[in-house]
Amino acid sequence: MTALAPVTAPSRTSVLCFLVGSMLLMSCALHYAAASSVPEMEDQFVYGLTVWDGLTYTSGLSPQPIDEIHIIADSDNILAPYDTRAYFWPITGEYVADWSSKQILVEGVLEVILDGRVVETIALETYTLRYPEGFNSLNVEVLTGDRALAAHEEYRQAVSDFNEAADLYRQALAEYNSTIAEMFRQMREEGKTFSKEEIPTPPTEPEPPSYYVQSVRKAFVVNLPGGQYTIRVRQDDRIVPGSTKKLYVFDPRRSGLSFVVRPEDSYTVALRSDSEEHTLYLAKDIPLYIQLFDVEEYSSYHYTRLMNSANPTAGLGMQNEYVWVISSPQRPDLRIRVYRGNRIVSEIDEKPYQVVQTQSSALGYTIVEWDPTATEMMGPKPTFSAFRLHVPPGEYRLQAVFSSGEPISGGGRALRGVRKIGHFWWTALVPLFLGLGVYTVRRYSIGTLQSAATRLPEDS
Amino acid sequence: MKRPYLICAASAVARRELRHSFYGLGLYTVLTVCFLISFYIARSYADSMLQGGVAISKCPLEYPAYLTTTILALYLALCASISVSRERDQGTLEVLFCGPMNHGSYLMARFSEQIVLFCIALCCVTVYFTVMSLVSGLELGLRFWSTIAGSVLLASYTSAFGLLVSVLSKNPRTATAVFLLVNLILIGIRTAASVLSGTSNEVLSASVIYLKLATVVADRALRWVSPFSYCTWLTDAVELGDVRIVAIIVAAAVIYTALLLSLATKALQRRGVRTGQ
Repeated sequence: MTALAPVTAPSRTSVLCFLVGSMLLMSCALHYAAASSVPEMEDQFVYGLTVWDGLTYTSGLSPQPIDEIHIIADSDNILAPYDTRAYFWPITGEYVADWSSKQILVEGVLEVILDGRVVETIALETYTLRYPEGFNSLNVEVLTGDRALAAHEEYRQAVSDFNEAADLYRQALAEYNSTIAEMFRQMREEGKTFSKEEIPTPPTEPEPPSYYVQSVRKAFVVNLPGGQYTIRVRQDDRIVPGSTKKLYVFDPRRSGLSFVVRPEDSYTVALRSDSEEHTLYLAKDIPLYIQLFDVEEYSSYHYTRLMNSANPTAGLGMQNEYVWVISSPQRPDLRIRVYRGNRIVSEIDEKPYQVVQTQSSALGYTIVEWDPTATEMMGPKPTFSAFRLHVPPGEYRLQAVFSSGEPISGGGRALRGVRKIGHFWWTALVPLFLGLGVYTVRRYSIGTLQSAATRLPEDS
Repeated sequence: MKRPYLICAASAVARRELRHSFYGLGLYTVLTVCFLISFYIARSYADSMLQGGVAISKCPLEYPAYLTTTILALYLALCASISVSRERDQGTLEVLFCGPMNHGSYLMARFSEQIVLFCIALCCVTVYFTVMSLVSGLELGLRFWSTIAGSVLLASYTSAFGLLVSVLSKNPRTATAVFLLVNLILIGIRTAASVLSGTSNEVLSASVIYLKLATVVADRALRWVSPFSYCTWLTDAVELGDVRIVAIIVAAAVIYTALLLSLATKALQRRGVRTGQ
C-alpha cells in the first residue's frame, strides 16, 4: 500500500531533488553532445596545395600535424604558405582549413634541402591556373609571373566584353520581341501584311569565353627531380614554425597504354587493362568498344598521399603496391590492328558512337554509329568515341599503332577465348591413379620376391 | 676419404631416397591435392569469365601455380627433415657413416635428392597447367613461368632449412614442429601483407590500418630472408624486366641455401650421427 500512499513533504523534496538532478545531468549530456560536433580549431601554418596528379591539378592541404608532402617529379606544383585555422574532421578522417575565418599569406622563401644542404631557394611567385577548354575540363596549365597576369587580364577583358555583349543582346532581344509583338498586333487588328524582308532577324546571342582563368595568387611553384627532400619557409633569419616538412618527389615506375574495354551489353561498366601482361578474355560473341589512354604507374603509397594530403592514415600499408593512373585524355591519333597468328585480320579506326535508348518503357539500348548530319535525332554530341571490335571468340593479338603503322610501346594485348573446364576435373586425379599403380606393382613385386625367397629353401 | 667414393656413396643414398619417394604414395597424394585445388581455382576463374562474357586478367594461373609449388616444396622439405631426424634417431645414420660417407656428402645427397624430386614434380605441374591452359583458354603468361622457375629457389631454401632443422632437433616431432612453425609464420606474414595491402584503407578501421602497416613493413623486411616473399619479388622483377634485381635475388637464394647447408653440416659434425651424442 506504500506505493498508493499520498506523497509526503520529505518525499516531495527528494522527488524534486531527483528531478532537478536528472535535468542537470541531461543538460550536461546535451551540452557535451552538442560540443562534440563542433571541432576544435587551431591557428596554424599550413601549405595549401595545388598538385599535378598525372592528368590534371588537384587541390589539397598539408596541415601542421602531417609532416610530409608528396608530389610528382618534373611537374609544376603549387605550395601556398598560409596562416589559417584548421581542424580535424572525424567524419571524413582528415584535416580541414577554415579559409573563410582566416587566410593570411606567409611571406618568405621556400628552402629545399637535400642531404642536409639547401639545393634550391624558391621565392613567392604570382601564378594562375588556366583551363583552355573550360573550368570542367581536365586540361589545366599553370602560368606564372607576367604570363599569369596577362592571361588573367585577358580573361577579365573577355568576361567584361561578354557581359557588355550580353547587355546589348538583351536590349536587342527586347527590341526585337516588341517589334514582333507590334507586327502581330498590326496583322491581327489592322489586317496588315508584311513582306519577308520587313520581318527583322533575331539578334545573335553572344558566346561566353570558352576558357577559364583563375584569379591570380601568390605561392611557391615547385618543380623538382625525384628524391626525398626537406622544405621549410624562411623569413629573414628565422624559420617559420611548422613549415618544415619532408617532401617526397616521386617518378612513375613505368608507362604504358591503357585499353578501356566496354562490352556492348554493359557499356557503362568499363574494364581496364593497363599493361601488356593483361589478357582480354572473351567468352561471348559480342562487340567490344575500346578506348585508349596513356597511363603511368606510380607507387600506391606516394600517389594516395598525394591525393589525400590531409588524411593522416592515407596510403599507410600500401608501400609495396603500385597503381596505374590515366595520364592523358583519350588518344585520338591511334588505330588498332588485330592479328591472328602473324596475319592481320583487321585494322580498326576510332569512331563516334551514340547510345540510343529503346522506345518502350522497358530498359534497353542500342549503340549506333553517330551521324553528324542527324544531330536532331541523335543529339549534338556522340556518347563516346571508341574502336569497335567484333570478332568471334578465338586467339588474337591487338596492337595499337600510330597512323603511320608504327606500333606504340606498351600497346599490345592478347585476346583469347575462354571455355568451360568443369568436366575435366578427373585430370587432377591422374597422379593418384599413377601412384596407386606404382604402389600396387611395387607391393606385388615385393610379394613375389618374398614368396620366391620363402620357396627357395624348400625347392633347394 | 677419397672424393670418388664419397660421390658414389652420396649418389647411392640419393638414389635410394628417390626410389623410396617414387614407390610411396605421399608424393602422388600431395600432387593430386595440389591439382584439385588448382583445378578448382582455375574453374572459378573460367566460370566467372564465362558468366561475365568479357574479362581482363593478369596471368590467372599464377596464383594456383604459386600455391602448388609452395605446398610441394614444403612437403618435400618436411619429408626430408623427418627422415633425416628419424634415421639419426633409429641409428641408421651411424651405420651409414661406417661406410665411405661424411657429414657434408650425406647432407648433399639428401639435398640433391630433394631438388631432383622437386624438379620431376615440377615437370608434372608444368604439364598439368599447360593442359589446363589449352583446355580452358586461360593464358599461362610470363608470371606463371617465372613462378615455376622461382619455385626451384624456394625448394632449395626450404630443403636446406629442413635439413638444418632436422640435424638440430632431438627427434622427428621437434623437427616437424619447428619447421612448420617457422614456415607458417613466414607464409602468414606474406599472405597477410598480400591480402591487407590489396584492401583499401577506407574500409578498414584505424587499428587494422596500423596492423596492415606492421605486416607490410615486416614483409618488406623479410623480403631478403623469407623465400615466400623473395619469390614473389622475383616474379615482379621478371615482369618489369629488371635483370639486376633478378640476378640479386637468385644470387641471394643460392647464398642462403649454401649457408644453410654448411650450417647443417657443421651442426651434424658437432652433434654427431648418434642420438644423445
